[in-house]
Amino acid sequence: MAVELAAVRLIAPWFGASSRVWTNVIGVILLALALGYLLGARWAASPRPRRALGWSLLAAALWTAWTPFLAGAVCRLFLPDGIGLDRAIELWTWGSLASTLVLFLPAAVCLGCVGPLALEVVQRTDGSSAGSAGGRVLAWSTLGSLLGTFVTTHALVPWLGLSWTFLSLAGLLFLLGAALALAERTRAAAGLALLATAAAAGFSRLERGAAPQGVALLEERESPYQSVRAVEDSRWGEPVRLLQVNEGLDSFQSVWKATPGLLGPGYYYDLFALPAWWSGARGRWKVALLGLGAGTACRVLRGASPEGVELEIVGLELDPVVVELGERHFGLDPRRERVIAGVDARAALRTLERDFDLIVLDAYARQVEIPFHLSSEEALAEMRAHLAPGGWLAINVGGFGFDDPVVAALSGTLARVFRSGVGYRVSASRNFVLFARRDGEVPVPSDASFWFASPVGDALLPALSVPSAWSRLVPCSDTLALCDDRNPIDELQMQSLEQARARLADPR
Amino acid sequence: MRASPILASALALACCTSALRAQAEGVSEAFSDGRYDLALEAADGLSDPVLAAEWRFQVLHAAGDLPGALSAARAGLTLAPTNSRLSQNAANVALALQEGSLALEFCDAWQRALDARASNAGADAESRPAEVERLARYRASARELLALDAQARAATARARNVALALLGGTVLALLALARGARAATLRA
Repeated sequence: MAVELAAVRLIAPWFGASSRVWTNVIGVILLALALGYLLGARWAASPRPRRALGWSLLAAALWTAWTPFLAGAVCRLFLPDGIGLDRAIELWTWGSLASTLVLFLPAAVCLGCVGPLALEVVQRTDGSSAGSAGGRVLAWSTLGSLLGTFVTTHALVPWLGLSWTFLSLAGLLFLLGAALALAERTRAAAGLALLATAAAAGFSRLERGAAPQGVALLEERESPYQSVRAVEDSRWGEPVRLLQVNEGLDSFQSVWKATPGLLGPGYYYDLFALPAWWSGARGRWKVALLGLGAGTACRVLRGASPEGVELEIVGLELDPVVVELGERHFGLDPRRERVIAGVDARAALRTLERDFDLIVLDAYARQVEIPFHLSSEEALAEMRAHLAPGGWLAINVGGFGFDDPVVAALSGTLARVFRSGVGYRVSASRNFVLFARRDGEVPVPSDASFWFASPVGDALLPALSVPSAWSRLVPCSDTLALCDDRNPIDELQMQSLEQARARLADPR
Repeated sequence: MRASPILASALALACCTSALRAQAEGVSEAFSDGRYDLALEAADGLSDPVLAAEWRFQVLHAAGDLPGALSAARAGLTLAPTNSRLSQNAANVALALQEGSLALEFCDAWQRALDARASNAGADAESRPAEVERLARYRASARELLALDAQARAATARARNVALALLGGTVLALLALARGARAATLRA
């Protein structure tokens, strides 16, 4: 279990940690274990099953120890550097499967051998029945898996990092294997394994590809949820800091520019400033950010809200490491904003007040997936219940058009809850911001209330006024609505990227 | 993304008749005022369809609707295949949309437009070298995108082949071992 959990994390910088990647990893490990069980069963019939058990453990230790060293080269073989999000979709499936097979199949086969061999050893040692020996071996191996699951997620990966997690697991396997090998007087094998594992401790490290020229890595961390890094990109003039998770590619989770306020074309955060202007807000303007990230929306709202507005911001972020990076590199100030870190947005929302003027849903699981429990009709209804009369809900959603599967499904579901709403395409990006209002209408360019005189309006409204930039949201049918009981948002995300890839392949 | 005054003036100057010029000024004015919705409406009312396409491109590009801008440029190019401004704009947007083959196609159209203008020597002798250099740059970028496409296709094929080979090998080994185990049990 420990190897399986760490396996997803190890390949996540290239292929992400989507449900497809998890499925591939679990599938490969199960297949390898099945093969290992049969191999172990065959070797169990040999005169010295204890020696075979020792060798299996030593082989698993060796492969596990060198896995971080191999990971970069293997993953890059199947997902070369420079491939963008649109082109990577097919590679996420096939590339993650191929990488998992190459990196983890051998060790998992060796570990699969351990069960039947251990059972045989126990049975021969104390002469117990197959059922009795099997029961004990299964109980201990399951308890070991349980321990491995918790220790890997909550201690090893966050504290030691991935490379040392693999090396620690390899060290444990080595100790068990070496003890058996020495007991069986196969010192040469134990000695060789010791040398190779010790060498791995010195050299086996997970290496990422070098950042492009002009992009500096500010900090990189392994959080309990993902690989997180802050980079500063100075390739296009003004330095821009980006927060990237897992595979990253040409995408980002948070952005920082030196001056607070609007970020410019291509950044959806700017549109979160519009509701305060459209409402003619004065005085307190209370905002909940579900998916705070490193605090980009706070900086935009602080720099681009109408004069006289006193912002009161509550930011909810699942990953505390993201908040830490936000404080260090993205200007997030927890003394000014009320930051609630380490909690799930939907669960935490229930504990919050019910008088928000604006709720922003900008939560993404992994890289491109909106969490299913935040995109359901029930979740949107809970958000609506937390809005003050006339309050706004703004949802950032990635997609390639209003007919994109994700944009269409979320728009239709949102309109079912709020009865109306408007989606705006973000200028020069593949993002849309969906607006809906409790007891109120969202303005469109043909309404006088859409236009307001201010540098913020001058910067944002012209691009939103063209007919292709907006669409009224229409409630979808029961069968298409996303709900807690049936929410295919993962598959819709994949369909969205597949359609984009098909468009790339045949742009006509 | 706001109006580019240089391009807007160029488009206004491109109108040869006074009626057309008046229409184009309406587009230009709405565009400069940031009323892209009205600018598009006015562009659709232009009596010169090529100029209308150029304006549609300009407005949609400024609004950040790159696919829309590309469609507008393509529509214009079907009417005026040797319009170098449209082919240049279309190539630029195709590159921004990461569509290498399309960008290369527009570069070819741009090249043809340049060749056609070469017969009219002296008309653009000063600006021509810069345009030729720009075309070469766009072409190189388009080829880079095509190379990335090829790289992604090759990586996919490689991943698929390796995955299928390893999966197939594992399943075969599993079957062989399972069969061997069954035979041993029967013998026993």
